[in-house]
Amino acid sequence: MASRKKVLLKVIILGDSGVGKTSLMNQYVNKRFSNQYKATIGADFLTRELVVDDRVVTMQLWDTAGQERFQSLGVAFYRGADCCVLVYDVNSSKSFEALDGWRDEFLVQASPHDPENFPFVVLGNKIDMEESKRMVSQKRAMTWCQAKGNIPYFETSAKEAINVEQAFQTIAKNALAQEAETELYADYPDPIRIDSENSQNYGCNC
Amino acid sequence: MSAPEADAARDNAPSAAQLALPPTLSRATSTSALSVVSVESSLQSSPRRLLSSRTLAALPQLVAHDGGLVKAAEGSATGTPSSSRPSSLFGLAVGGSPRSTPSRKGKERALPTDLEGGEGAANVEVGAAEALRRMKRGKGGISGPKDGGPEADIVAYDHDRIRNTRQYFVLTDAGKPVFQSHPELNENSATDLSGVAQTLISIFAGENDKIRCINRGRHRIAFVLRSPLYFFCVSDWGEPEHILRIHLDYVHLQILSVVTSTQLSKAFQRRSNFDLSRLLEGTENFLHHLIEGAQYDFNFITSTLQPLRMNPVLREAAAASLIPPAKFRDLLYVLLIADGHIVTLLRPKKHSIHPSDLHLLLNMLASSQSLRSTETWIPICLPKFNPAGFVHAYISYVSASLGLVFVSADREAFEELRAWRASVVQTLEKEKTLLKIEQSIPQHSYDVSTLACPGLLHFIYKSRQLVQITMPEWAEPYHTDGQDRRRVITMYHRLHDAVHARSGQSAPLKLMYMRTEHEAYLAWVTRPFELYMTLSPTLSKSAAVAAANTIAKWVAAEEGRIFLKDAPVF
Repeated sequence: MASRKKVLLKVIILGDSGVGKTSLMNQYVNKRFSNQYKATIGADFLTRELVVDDRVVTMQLWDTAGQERFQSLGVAFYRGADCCVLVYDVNSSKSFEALDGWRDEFLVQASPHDPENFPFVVLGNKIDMEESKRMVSQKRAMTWCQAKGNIPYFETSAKEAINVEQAFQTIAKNALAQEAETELYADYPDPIRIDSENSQNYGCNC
Repeated sequence: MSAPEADAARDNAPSAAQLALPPTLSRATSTSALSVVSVESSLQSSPRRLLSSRTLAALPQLVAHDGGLVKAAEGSATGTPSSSRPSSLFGLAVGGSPRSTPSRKGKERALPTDLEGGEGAANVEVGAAEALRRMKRGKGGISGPKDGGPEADIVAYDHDRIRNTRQYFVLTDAGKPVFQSHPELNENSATDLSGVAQTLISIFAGENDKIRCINRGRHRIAFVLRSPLYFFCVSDWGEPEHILRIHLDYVHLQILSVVTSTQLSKAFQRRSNFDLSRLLEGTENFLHHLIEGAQYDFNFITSTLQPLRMNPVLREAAAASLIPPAKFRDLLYVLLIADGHIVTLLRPKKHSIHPSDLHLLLNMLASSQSLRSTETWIPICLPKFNPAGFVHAYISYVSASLGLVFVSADREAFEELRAWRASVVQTLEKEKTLLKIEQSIPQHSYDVSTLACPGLLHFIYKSRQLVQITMPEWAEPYHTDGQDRRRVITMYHRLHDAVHARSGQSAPLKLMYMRTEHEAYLAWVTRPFELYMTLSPTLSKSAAVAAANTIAKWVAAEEGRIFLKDAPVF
C-alpha cells in the first residue's frame, strides 16, 4: 500500500541541560534564536513539515527537559519515537560524556523493537563559540558515533543556524527509512465461528 | 510581521505548545479515590504562568499554586511573543496575553442565562427535596463561572462556529495524531494537541491514575483511554461528562469496526510508533458521519433503535419474506433498511444484536453513497459481537432508499447470499411489499401536535423492554441546528444523567422536573419506559404529569406501528 498521505514522525530531543536543545528546535522551526536561557519545564512541542524524497513529512518534535528534576515523564515521552536526537555542547566535556547515559536511558525507556538499528542522530552544538573554548574534538565525537553503530553526526550552531537544516533533514530521512520497512501487513484474521460463540443476549430482543 | 517572520510562518507552519510540570503536580501521590479527576484551570495574571491548574476538593494536593499545568510556548525563547503562535487545547492551554475581546466576552456570557443560569437556583424545581439536593451536588463540577473561581479567559477565534462545535480527537498512546473532527476550526495542529494531550494523560498515568475530564470555564474536555488509543472531546454545551464519554466510546467502536482490536494491538505491539492514521485512510468519512449524528442523538445515549414507523402487518410481511433458508449456517443478521431506519431485523436464535453494532452498520450505510449504487461485500468488525475479527456484510439497495443487508461470518458467502437476495426481492415485489414500504417512509415522522396535548413541545419515549425509542420531529424553534435544539438536547442529557445517577449521584431518580425561562422538562422512569419531555414553562406541574400520561397512552396505542416487535428468529 503506497500511501501518499503525510507521514508523521515523532522525534525526541535529549541531552544535558543547557546544551541548546530548545534553541536548536526554535532555530529549525521558527528560525529564531535568543541568547536568553530559560529551562524547559517538562516538555515542549514543535511541529514542522518538510519534504523528504517527495514525501511530505510532519515532524513532531518533543523537546524534553534536560534538568533531572523534570525527568519524571520517562516512558510516556519516549514511547513510539521514530528518531532520537542526542545533543551535547562541544564546549563541555561533561555534556558529551553524558551521551552514553542519554542513549541508554532512551533505549531502556522507549524499548524500540530493534534497538540495534534504531535511528539516532548526534548534534554537537555551540560551534560558534571561540575555538579556545572547545572541549570536545570532532574526532572524539565521531569515534563515539562510529562505536555506537555509525550514528550520523553534525556540528551545529543554533545561534548562527549552521548545519541545523541539514541535521534535521537527515533526522527525518533516517526515521523515514525505518518507518518504510514495516509496511502494513495484510494478515487476514481468522474467521469468526458463530456456532462456537457463547450464546449472547444484549437485551435487544427485537 | 516582518519579512523573515512571514517567511518562517509560510515555510514552517510554526506552532508550539509547552508543557509545564509543576513540582506540586509531579509530587502528588494520592492514589485513592481518584476516579473523578476534575482539573479546572484559569488564566492567572502572570504571562509566564498562562494557565494554572485547580482541582476540585477531591484532590487538594493537586492545587497548583506555583507553576502551571500547561502553558503556551510564548516567550520561552523567542522574545517576540506576538509572532509565536500560542498553542491551545481549547480553553485549556491558551496562549496569548490574558485578554479576550470584549465582544467575545459578551457572547461567552450570553448562554449561561439560557443554560447555566436557568437551572441555577431560582428556577429549579425538582420532584423531591432529596432529588434537588442530589442534583445540585451532581452539578458541582459542571458549570463554569459560578464555581470556577476567576472567570476563564478564552482565546478569541475568528470563527463564530468554534463555539458550540464539539471537537473530537484520537491519538495513539505515543502521542501521534490519528483523527481530528474539525481541523478547520483549530489554530493548532492535531500534532501539537496530541502531544499535549498525551502528556497530560501520562502525568496521571504516572500515578496509576486516569484523567477523565478537565473543566475549564464553560469548556469541558473529556478523555477516554483505550490503549493503544486515547480519545478526547472538547465541548462547551454543558452536557454531563458521561455523554461525551459515550460519544468517544462510539468513535472507538467505529475505529474497531475498520481495524479489529486484534489487528490494532498487534500493530502497536510490533511497533509502538505505528501511525494508525494511515491505516484508517479512506474511512474518515465514517467517523465524521458518526460524530455528526452523535450531536443531537439519543439513540447512542440510550443504546436504542428507532425503527421505521409503519403498519405492523406490512412489517410482518417483509420479515416473512426474509427468513433465510436453513442452509446458511453462518448467517448472522438480516436487515431491511428504509431511509436509514430499520424496517425489520432477523437474527439467529442464540444471538441478539447489540444496539451499538447496529448503529455502526447503519452509520456505514448512511456515510457512503457508493453503497447505494452497487452491491457490496464488505468486511466489518462488529465490536460488541466480536472485537477480534471481521464478519462480512452483503449490502444491496433495492431502490434509492430501501436497502438489504445480510451479515455473515462466512467470508465465502457472497455468491450464495447474492443468489438468495434475488429470490427475496422477487417475493417482496410480488406482494408489492417494497412499494408499500416505500410509501410508508413519508409517514415515518410525526409532529408533536399529533398527540393533541397543549404545552407539550417535544418528547423522547424509550421502551425499556424493546430497547427502542420514539420521538416526534423537532418543531419550531427546534427544527434548525441551533441554540434552541442544543439547549433541549442538553437538558435531556442532564435529565438522563440524573435519573440514572451517572455522575456519582447517590441514587437514581424516578421522576424529575426542571424549569427554565424557556422550557420545563420532565423525566419519568417506570418499569416499562423512560420518558423525557419538553414542555411550555407556563404549564403547571399537574398539567405536565397529565401530558406524560397522555404520551404513555398514545404510545401504548401506537406501539405496533412505532416499534419493531416479534421479529422472526432463525
